[in-house]
Amino acid sequence: MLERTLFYSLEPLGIGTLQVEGLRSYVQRLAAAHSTPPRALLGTLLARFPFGSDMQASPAEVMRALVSYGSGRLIAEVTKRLELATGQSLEACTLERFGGLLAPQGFSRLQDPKYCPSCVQEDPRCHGHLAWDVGCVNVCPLHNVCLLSAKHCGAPNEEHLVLQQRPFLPSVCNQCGSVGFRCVVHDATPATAEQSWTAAAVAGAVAMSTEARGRCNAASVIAGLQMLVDTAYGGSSVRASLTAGLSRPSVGQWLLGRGKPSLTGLLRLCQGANCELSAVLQGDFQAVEVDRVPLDAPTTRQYRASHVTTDELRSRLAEALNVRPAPTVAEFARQNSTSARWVRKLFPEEAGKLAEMGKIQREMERAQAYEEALATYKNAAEELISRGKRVSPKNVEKLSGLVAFSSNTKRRHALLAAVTGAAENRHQGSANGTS
Amino acid sequence: MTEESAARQNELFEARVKHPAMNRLVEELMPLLLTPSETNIIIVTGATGVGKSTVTRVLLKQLMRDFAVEIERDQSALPFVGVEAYANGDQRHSFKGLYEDICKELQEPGMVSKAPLTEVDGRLVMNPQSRNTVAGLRKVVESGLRHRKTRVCVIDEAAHLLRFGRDAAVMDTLKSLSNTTNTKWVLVGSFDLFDLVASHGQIARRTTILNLERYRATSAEDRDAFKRLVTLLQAKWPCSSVPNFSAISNELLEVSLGCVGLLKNLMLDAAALQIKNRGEWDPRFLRRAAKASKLRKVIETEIEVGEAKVRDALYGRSTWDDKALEKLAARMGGCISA
Repeated sequence: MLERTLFYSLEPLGIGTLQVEGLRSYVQRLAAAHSTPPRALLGTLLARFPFGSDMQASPAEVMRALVSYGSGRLIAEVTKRLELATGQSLEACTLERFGGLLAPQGFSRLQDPKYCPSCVQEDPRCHGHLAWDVGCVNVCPLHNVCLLSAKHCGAPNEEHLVLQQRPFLPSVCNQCGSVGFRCVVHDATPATAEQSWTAAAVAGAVAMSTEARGRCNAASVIAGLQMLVDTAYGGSSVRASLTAGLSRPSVGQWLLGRGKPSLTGLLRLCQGANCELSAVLQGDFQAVEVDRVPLDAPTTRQYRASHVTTDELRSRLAEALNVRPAPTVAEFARQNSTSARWVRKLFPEEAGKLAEMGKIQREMERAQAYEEALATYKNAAEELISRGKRVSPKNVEKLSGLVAFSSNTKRRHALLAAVTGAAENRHQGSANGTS
Repeated sequence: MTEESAARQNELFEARVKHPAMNRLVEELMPLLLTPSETNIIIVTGATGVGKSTVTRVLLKQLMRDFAVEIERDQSALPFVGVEAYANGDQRHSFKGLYEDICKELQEPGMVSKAPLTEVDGRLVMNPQSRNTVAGLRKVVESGLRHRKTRVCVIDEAAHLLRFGRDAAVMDTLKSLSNTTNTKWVLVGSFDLFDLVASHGQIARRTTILNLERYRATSAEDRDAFKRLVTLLQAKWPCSSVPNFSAISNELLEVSLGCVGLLKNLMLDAAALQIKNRGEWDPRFLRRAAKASKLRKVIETEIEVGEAKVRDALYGRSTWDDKALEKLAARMGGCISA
């Protein structure tokens, strides 16, 4: 038998363009071509090309890591294996290609995959763009409309598919299977000028060719940043940080090479200077051809912390204790531009009370969630009884549209309570009927 | 039987000899497979033991040579696949087994976790339960053929397809598979395969039939080729004392009905008798090894009926005879430059 690649040699789409495909989308399309769920595909991949003894990851963990950035060797190892299994070069499809250049915090969108409503309207089978996987990109760089959450389904609960039947494709609703998210009907929201600028800059950077990426390294980022500060901010890092609304020490540390710049911070500096992000990463300065987009004022850092005195903080804390729902210590600190540690140190008693109130509040919220779930399940159980159908956890889940995942203890208990209660009621009802 | 003689007997059994008719058939077949046309189903028939399975092997080797560049260039491509439509004892069985074999040949990974996608009213649904159904497997096969860039599928013992259902239904399935995946299907099997085509004009339009000719005692060229074949098989004789079969090649041609398979059966049985007789040859072995005349008659009748059935449906046998063709050529004159 001929020795062939494990998977089909599916070409990644949009390489070298703003629509370059992300690795998650690629794996989903490959899995669909093989008529298998993505996790099963990754399971097959890891069975054929297992990790060494120094690395362990389940297919589910690998699936999550596909859009990650700065997750160590995992994504690099997975990409290498996928390349072996398909015979395609997939380096351009990962965010990991910027590994070592920028700070990983908030870089990629791990939890909530997004899609562009205009892209899926034009092509209901379109692929997922790599730029959509970047945390700070909230609009489509092509259509300038806000991205929508792929987790939101507009179809009624009855039309939701059971878990085993849910498809995994970037332009298909995972919950109801609607191709091109036709289940979501509201109009696309136009993007602000700043959002569009950010999206275009990031899309330009992720579309960078392999050769251009080869020119990027930690030193080139520092050189680019220095050139940007020199050209656009008269060589003053303080001016640069004040214009971009960033902390002065942060920009200083980045210029000294003592810390990696965050993507959002670098984008604000670039926007303030109206220059290309991709050029800065390559150690260069290149002005953007479009008109300058002014930075949004509210996001500019205010340094309010220096104006808050200890007495003011105490009085605000006393006010916060009377607010319902009370903020957490961290929220309170953020609202007053100070650190939670500092609040706890200065006012341990009040901070303790705030924490205690938060605990009580969370318990109340959980109890309320339980009651709501119980009510939903009970209604569904009664509906099933009235239809003469069997009251089972599966049927109740399906009818209520509320899934009781095994990890959600409260909801699972509510489901079982509703089902048991319904069964008892029916038993009593039939016993009364007999007597 | 010693290990050495058993090995030599096996060597004789495994011996494959290409005969001129086989070469002619492969030469005719290759252009049909390699050029795009609407003739998507090609049937290769032939008498029992004439060498149809050998033709399949030769064809697969030839395809390997012709697609070598493509195979080298694309590490995932499988431009051709060869499977056998086996019979498993059931009176009727479905395409399921065939699809599973094709998936195996296409090196389809993770067959246990398949969940084919179906689109209904603009909604895409995964169906894990359909992985074991004919419809589900068909989707997997279609996707595999498309993505592995398969252009030719060869099915040996294709007469077993007749047990899959009505003839027209079988051919419709192959026709639609061929259309959706842009592949050519070569069905190798007995004369019964003609029944698959005869049922429907739509299918006949897309089908070509080739027959693997047996050696004819009436043709001097065939007699010489048959003699060379006997000599080649004789060279693989498992005993040290080798009977001179080539001297009686004409008689062997007659008794084996010109079919290599029947000749090999005769020689293998004779060799077994000689080995049992401690390597001593006895001419009476010939009589014991040759097919009983009644069985031979059955085979001969079946071959003649089969050949008569496909004679006028064969590739190249058009309505124009030599005389009509001459007239057409005269009217057409030379070629017009493009």
